[in-house]
Amino acid sequence: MKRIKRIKSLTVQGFRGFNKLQEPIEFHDKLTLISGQNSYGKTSISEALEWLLYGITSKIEDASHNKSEYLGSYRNIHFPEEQTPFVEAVFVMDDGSEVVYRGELQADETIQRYFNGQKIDNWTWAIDAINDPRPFILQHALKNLLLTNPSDRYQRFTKLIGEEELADLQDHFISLSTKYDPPKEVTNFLNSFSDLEEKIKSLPNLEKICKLYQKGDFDKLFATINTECSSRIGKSLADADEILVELKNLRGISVAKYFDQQLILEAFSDEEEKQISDDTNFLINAITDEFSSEYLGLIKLATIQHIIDHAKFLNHGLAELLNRPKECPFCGHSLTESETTKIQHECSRVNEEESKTKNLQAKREEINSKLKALRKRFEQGYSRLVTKSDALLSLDTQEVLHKLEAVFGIENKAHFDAVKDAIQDIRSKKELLNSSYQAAVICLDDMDDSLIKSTETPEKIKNLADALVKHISDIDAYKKKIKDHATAISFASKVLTNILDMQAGTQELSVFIELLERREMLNKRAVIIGVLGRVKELQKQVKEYVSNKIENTVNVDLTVVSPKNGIEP
Amino acid sequence: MRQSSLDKIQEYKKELLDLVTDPVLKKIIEAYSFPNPVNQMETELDKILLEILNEENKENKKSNSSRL
Repeated sequence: MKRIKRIKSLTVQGFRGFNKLQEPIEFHDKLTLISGQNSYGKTSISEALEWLLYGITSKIEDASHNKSEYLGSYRNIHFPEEQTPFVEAVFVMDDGSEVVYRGELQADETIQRYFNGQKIDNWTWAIDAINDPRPFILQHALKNLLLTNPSDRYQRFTKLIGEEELADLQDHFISLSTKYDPPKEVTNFLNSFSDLEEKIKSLPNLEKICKLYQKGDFDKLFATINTECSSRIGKSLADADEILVELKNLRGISVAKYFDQQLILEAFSDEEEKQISDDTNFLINAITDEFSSEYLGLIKLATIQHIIDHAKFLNHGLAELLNRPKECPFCGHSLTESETTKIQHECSRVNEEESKTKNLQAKREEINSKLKALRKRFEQGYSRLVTKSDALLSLDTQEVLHKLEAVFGIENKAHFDAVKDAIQDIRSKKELLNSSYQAAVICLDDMDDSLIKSTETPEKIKNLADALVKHISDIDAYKKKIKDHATAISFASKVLTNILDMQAGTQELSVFIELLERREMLNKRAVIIGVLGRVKELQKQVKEYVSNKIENTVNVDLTVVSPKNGIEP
Repeated sequence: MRQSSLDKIQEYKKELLDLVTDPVLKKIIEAYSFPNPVNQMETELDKILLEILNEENKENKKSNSSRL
């Protein structure tokens, strides 16, 4: 498709500042400068060309207020009424050919277009170019372009030169580097180091450690920690875990003079939550309708037990009958042929009944296995749950709580109260959990017993289902209490550690312990901080790229030829 | 969005990808796509950070027995 390369000439009549027909304005093939006094029609030339190409001028299109104010403003007020205002341009195409665009102003302010003398509805390129930038800046619009904030000005200039995508691209990357909020887990992870950082900063003896930490030089950091720790432990150890054990022992001995227990209540991890959820689902799905009907089907076994006994009795009689065919094997009376046949018939009927019971017996084994699996999962799940609060509840003695209260002191009484509340709440839920566990165990025992003694009843399976439902509900309540109190206990634990370290003079040991315990996390933190830093740097690279692209556009596509290279005055 | 604009953006993306060497930044630029490029890049960055956070670091496992 041919494209317009340049304007060759423009003829205007009756439009804006132009009244009667003038000589065509001839344009230079590189650059044309138009000069003139005020109100001599310089702006009208630009408006005429813009109107011819787009059917509207930006002055009217961009009018923020009532556009009707501009009605009739295209037509020159002195232009004779019987004549039609028009703008006509000769364009040179990129293949060197020339085309004539003509626009006539209609009475309703619309434009009637002519292409090489042929009336047309629109220019062939008009639909494709509907959103293209229009390279016109009129005097009135200069203030919009210049008197605005830098970001908008940048946007408007790039739009003017047809590179608004570059401005958008730059904005998007700036937005990413300045407004991005990492996911909550990542932010929490990064924030989890703030206490440690504060501690390191607050200890004058750890200045070197502090600098290495801030620099992120972990190799040197841990080498320094090793040296520091060796002198405290009194022997040289190279293994981090061995050093940790020694440091913890050292700190434990010092701190135990004040308080020798640990304050721990960890919230359930995602993995633990999933395990509990799997266990609960297993319990819910264990007592299905199918399982119930299979279990209840076993009730038949009890009712037909006498058939099995009868079969054994008759089979014994049949064996005797083979030896003495004419004599009753049980009472010795002589038998007629029909009596013998009757005995044989009865015996085969009873044997047939017995074979049916074998299927039921197999089913009993199956149900027994299912119950065993249920019991195992049930016990394991319970054990996992209750141990979660063992550490905290071990503090629940008058002596320990008294010591803890003394260590926290009046100043930190709120933390002590939080510990007491947590113990009370969790203990009460744990007792309920234990109670429902014991009830379910009794029901399971009852079920097992019924299978052994053929005493299956609908009540037994209903009782088990009810007990499991109650237990699941208690699991939820217990879990919720642990979740509710975990944060407060964690906070209280940190405060307790700080108090004990202050009292025992083990602050530095605590910092070393935490650094060593979290050494893997420190590496991870460094990687995350590195990524976030590089994303911030990315905006600089994008800015430089965009700047180069725009400079290139200006230099190549919008070349201005200096007068000495041939512009005519 | 116009096809011509999308084509331009594709070209810019390609040029930016050639400019950067960091694989993380490359992934973020790759994610740049309309209608909401910032959101797309943020989602990719979320994914990258969470992967780092949750990754079972083999080096870490080794470090349990590593020497300081």
